[in-house]
Amino acid sequence: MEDKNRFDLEKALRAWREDCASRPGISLEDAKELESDLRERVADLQQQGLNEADAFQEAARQVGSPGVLAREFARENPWAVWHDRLIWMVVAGFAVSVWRFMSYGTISSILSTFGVLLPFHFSTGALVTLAGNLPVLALAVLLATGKIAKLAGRFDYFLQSRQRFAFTGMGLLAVGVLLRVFGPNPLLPPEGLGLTILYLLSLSAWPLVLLSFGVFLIRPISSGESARSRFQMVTVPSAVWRERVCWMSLGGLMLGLWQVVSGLGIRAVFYPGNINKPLNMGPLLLSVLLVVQLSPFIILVLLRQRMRKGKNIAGVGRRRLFIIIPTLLCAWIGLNLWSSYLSVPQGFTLSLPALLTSYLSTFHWFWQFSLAALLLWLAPSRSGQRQHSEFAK
Amino acid sequence: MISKDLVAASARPLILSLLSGGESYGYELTRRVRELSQGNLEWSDGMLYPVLHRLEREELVVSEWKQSDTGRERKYYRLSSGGRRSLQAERQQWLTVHNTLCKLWKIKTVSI
Repeated sequence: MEDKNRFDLEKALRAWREDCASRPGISLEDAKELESDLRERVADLQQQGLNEADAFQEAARQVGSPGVLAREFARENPWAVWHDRLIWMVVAGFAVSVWRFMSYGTISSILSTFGVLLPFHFSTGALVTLAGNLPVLALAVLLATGKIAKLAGRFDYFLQSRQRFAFTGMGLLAVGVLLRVFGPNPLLPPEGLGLTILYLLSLSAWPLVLLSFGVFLIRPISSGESARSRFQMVTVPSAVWRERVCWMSLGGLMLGLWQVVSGLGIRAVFYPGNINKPLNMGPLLLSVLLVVQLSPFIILVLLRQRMRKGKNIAGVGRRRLFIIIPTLLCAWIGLNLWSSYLSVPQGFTLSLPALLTSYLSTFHWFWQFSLAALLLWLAPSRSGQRQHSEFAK
Repeated sequence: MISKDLVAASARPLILSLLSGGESYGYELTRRVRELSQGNLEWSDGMLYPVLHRLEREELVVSEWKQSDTGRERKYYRLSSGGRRSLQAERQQWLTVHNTLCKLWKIKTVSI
């Protein structure tokens, strides 16, 4: 009979490596290298006569705690931390925008056919919002809890080379746009070839910007020969996915806010004085829309140098997040409400309760609240030291 | 014991010099430098690996995962041609500092 309390060296090493890898600043490959160092030390100490458990404890003490290691790694290469965070924000933004292209027509046509069978009544728009967002959020929760770790591990394949990422992304985007324009319940492009091209471009501008930023970022994730190495980490620890999903949600929150801000900015530029005039898709407006939507990309490229030198790498304390995230959320919702108020045609009056009711019934808030909730749930509390209970016997 | 700042500053020429004798991996580098310095230079992993990765980013060293004789996977580093040139420059600088101190302390200098 094997003793259940017996020290399992492999398990302890794995837990230690996963703890390292979940820290921003330490990549999966770094964690693997540190683990290999730890193994050497354990073997040396065992040769000196220590038992497995004592050798592991002593070796772990020599190497240093994952928290301290992460700080030292981040100090030497602060850009790596932000690189990792940014890439997941961008990947998530891209995936969600392409998913919306792909799913919108299909979901809305299914709902307009079978929606009457539902036991409750909602507008089709609200149902589409719900049906489109729920799978994304479910996926995020599954990823963050490590329920689909194996499947998620396959995803890293697309991040190992720039070409692979670019081609997969372009393919997905093309399918998405084609589905949106020619698929079920299509969005009809305006008359004229030039206008159609501009329209398609403006439709896919956002995912295109995110995709190109992703391609721009992707290089350092597979440094040197390790990407082609036989010795790859097969599964990504769930703690790493937790961290990634956390940054994905923040990316979503910020992108959403940005889209409303840029939308309002365009209205303000084009309709000074008469802001209630309904929007029409002229070529000038479409071009400006393109430029405005490109601006975060330009800003990020300009900020790259700053981020390289960035000093403040440790995450924000949990308590501060409880202020920052609701503020972002309120700003987004407030701007959304203002934006829908502005689009009310002149001559009509809309009271605040009516505006709120219509906003609630569209279920747009669902996405915003879910992102904020995801973020608050996943946000790591960096102020407190993480417990290393798994190493204890 | 050598001060932390000096340990960090000397890591670069030491790593380059250690690797000029052939490829090696992190733990072996730590062990060898401890032996050579008779225990006076103790490298922590938090110091060594970031420096190694920086040297890799600067293309002074090249890394490769390999299986050792014992079956363990190790990330081996070796010097690139740029690394050899950088080592020469480091050598000159360190010997210049060394000789200056030697003259002040009236100890025999070495030829650069």
